[in-house]
Amino acid sequence: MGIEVLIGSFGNFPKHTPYYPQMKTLVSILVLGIFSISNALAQKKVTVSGYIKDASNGEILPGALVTVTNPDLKASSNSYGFYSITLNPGKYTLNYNYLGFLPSQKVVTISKDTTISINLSSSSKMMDEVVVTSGRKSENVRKPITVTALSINKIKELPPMLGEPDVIKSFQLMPGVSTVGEGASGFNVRGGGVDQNLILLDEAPLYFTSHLFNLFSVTNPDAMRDATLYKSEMPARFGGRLSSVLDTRMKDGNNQKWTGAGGLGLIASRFTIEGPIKKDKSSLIVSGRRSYTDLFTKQSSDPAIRDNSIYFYDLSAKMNFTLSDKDRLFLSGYFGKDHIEVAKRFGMQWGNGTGTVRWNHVYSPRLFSNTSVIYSDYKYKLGVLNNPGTSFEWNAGIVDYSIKNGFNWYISSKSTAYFGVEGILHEFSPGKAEPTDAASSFNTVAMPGERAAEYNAYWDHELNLSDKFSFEYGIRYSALQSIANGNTTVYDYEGEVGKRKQPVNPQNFSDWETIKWYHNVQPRLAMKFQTSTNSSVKASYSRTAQNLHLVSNTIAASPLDIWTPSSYNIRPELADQFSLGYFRNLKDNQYEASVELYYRSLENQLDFINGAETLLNRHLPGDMVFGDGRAYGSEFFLKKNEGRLNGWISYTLSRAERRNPIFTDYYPVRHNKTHSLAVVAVYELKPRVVLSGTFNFASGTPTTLGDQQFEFDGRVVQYNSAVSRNNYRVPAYHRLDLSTTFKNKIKPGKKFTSEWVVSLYNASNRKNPFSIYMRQNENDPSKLEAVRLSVFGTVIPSVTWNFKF
Amino acid sequence: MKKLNIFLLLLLNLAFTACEDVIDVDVAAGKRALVVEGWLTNKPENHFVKLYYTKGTSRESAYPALSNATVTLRDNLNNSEVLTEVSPGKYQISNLKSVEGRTYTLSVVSPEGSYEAVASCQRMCMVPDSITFKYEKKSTIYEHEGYYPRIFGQELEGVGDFGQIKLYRDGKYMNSANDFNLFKDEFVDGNYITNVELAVYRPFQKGEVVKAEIWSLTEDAFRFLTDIQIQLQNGQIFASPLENARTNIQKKSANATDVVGYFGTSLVSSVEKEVK
Repeated sequence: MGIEVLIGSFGNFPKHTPYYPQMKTLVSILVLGIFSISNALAQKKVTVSGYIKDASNGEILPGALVTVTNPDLKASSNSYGFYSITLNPGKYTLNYNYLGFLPSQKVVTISKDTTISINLSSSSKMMDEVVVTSGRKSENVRKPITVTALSINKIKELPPMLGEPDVIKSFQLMPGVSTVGEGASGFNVRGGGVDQNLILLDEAPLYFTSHLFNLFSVTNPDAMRDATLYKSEMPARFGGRLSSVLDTRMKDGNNQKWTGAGGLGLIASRFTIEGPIKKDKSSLIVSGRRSYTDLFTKQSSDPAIRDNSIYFYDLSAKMNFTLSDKDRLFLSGYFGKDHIEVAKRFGMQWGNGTGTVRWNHVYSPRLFSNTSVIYSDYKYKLGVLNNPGTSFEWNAGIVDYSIKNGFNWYISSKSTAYFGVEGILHEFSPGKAEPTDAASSFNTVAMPGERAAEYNAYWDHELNLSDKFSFEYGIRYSALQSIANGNTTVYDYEGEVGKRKQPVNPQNFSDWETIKWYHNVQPRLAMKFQTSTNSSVKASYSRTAQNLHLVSNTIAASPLDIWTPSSYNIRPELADQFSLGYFRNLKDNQYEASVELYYRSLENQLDFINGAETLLNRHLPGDMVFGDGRAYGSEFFLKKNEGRLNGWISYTLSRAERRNPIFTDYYPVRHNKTHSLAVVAVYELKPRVVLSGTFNFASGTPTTLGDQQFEFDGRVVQYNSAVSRNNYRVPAYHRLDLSTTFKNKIKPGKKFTSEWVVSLYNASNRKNPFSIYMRQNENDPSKLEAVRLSVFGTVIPSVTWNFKF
Repeated sequence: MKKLNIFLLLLLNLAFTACEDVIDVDVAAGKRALVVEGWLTNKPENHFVKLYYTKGTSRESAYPALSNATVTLRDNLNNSEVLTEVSPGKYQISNLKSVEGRTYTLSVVSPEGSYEAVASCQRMCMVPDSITFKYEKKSTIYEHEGYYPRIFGQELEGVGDFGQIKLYRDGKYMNSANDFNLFKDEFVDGNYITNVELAVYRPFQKGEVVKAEIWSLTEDAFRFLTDIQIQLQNGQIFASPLENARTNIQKKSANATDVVGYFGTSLVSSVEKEVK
């Protein structure tokens, strides 16, 4: 693809015309939906609505099920715990269900719109420790949209790495989710890149999700409520990334009594305190975590150890206020930072900070709205210290300001719509390096800033046409405005394919001037056909667009990788995904089983020429190439939800490939794993002893090795004569992790409880290869040797003491 | 960029129990290519162009030479010479030396095909005036204890200077992957370069004589050497995919065998000091 083609096609609006037939279908469905709305209005129905909460602490229960018999109707609470169900006036029995909680029943005669808020109690004292799903009983079969949800309690049961339960690593045990290897931050969903997942923490996006190169995820498990992954279908209310959405929610804080929890581990400790500001009305939760290896290394007499300092911390706080029956206000903030200093010579820091203000308002029993204002800041810093003449400091970052307004409209008992608008302003500082000495060899180097605004609107409608057939269709419109950040010059890039392209045709823009617009219409459709009470077949199609791109040329994403928006030379990435699945629950939802097939095609995938400079490069687009890709696979999942022994088995058979103008044949991507198996088992040996284990097996990832070699100036050089990518497969990976939790006796009358978690990560002590590469032989620089890199070369034991009061 | 990668690699070793093991891999030997390796400088000695073939990775055999090729070098002032093959595959440049601003064309005619490389001689990028040594104890950054060299000198005004600093220990060229020092003036243009540490695999010890040669490079030559450097220092989790080093050797006949390598020209200036 020549650059002329690229530029020539930029101006078309809307560019992606092949989907007009689907669009037409959607429009007719939309009309159908509105019909059912007017029907609903005509019958003068009444609505029961309210919140569903945990009686012990006032935490909302999202995804709790409300059922009515005669007629059979179902509704579930939304992510704020709000539900709404519309009925003919009359006498009803309302059943409230949430897995791990005692069901609650209300017999009511309803003649007008009624508010019924319900507090559910845990089904046993120990029960909240063994809750397996986040409560979405039978939802996997019933709903057109499939979600993968893990409650924080479940995550805490899995064998932890160095004693810290980890949300992101837990999802890597799910079908279709993988990682390029240990130590690699983020995760890959259905062959997508790590930058193609939208990771939300209370609606604020996180750009880099790990502490200490993925030893830990940035979210503190004690402050988390649950996490939901959307990978098969992405409802139209989500967007901005191609592959998936990981929606993590923080706890609201106990509004009944003050409680605390924490853990002391070998590397890090955490502490959370929560309680009512005003009972039943408002609460506060504050949670902190810090690693402390640096405190020990500082004491060392060996300067080689003493002069290094590595630590991370994170802090989150959330307050919520019930202002009235109709209004709730949430304030939440997160701040996390990693700090690394080596031999007092190199320093590096990175961190996310987010702040969210949310306002829930119930306009009517059938219209719920959430308005959010979100600030998110990702920064990193790198420096050479104490080296006169060459010391410098380098700063880069992204700041996002977003405002969103979303509505849940409970149109009728068979029809729910989600619609809303969003606006996001991104400010990018791709890097500024400044000398820190008076007499320096370096000049100040500042990369021009970038700026982009995203405008999104969506309509997402779930319709249960009959007991058998229901579907959710949606449409998401997203516009990206590339805006000058300061006086900006943009160029076209011309040159040979595969070589660095030269800037031509400079065009100047002044601060805040629009450089370019991109528009994308993204249809989404998910359909469910109920084949029996316990089984269903689902099919879906999603188009997704992505306007933020990670500029990374390495196997694992590093915290120093920069993000760049769609801009004059970078078009939005696009994906189309088709999924087909069979879902079946067995033995009264004790077991969940599913088989899913998917095919995804990708456009405008960012890649780089040989020797591209991805940092401090003013003409980065000249080093970029754009390719396409495809990913397909099948996913098998069997999960046992209840009982002393529970857990799951997931298996994925898949392939993910890319091609671009340089590598014109499809090649497997670096994170492609043909087979991937995860077995998770949690066994309650005794009431106070829980054993858990996970086993992972995955095919080796592909890599590129030279097949020929030569020498130049006394050094050996590899040559890949086939000029192909990923011609060699790293050996297969398998890992066993084990842990045991010992719960201490609860003293009568005391609410203090504690437990010990002893774990072995990589219990089989396997040197799993992360990659294989060639290097020069130390003693003979004219020779190459192959090296296997194992990120964890040994078994890693850990002990953690957790407590609650 | 390179420094960053080394830095990340280092951190990784700190953070993890990462380990590297040398293993045997069996990569199917691909298709061999012709290698052209040659560099012309202003140094008084004779220069050579080597022609030979690549071999399968980690194969013990020697590189097969390409003999009996006609190798010609000429400059843009029409000075030219035909190189003489002094040993199999090794062709000697006897008369021409590189002169700032001149462009040189190397032609190779052989049964494998005809090839041509064009290289111009750039001005000296940085005039070195001294080397100093700093003693470093063993630490996370310095794997070995000893004297690490630092260079000083004036960088010339005007962006676009590139160079390589080659180090010699007691007259022996240091060619390990970590003795690679490349230089560009994008971020230091016109400055007095002060106290810049040079990368060495093993530091120097007292009594050793250290020579640093600065070779001026074109941007193209700089990129070729950078490609090799990235390859040689590429590993760990932040590695980038293996890429073939760019070449300036062009095929001039149909069906010519694929070719790799480089023909470059440089001005060389040096500074020498004994570690005391």
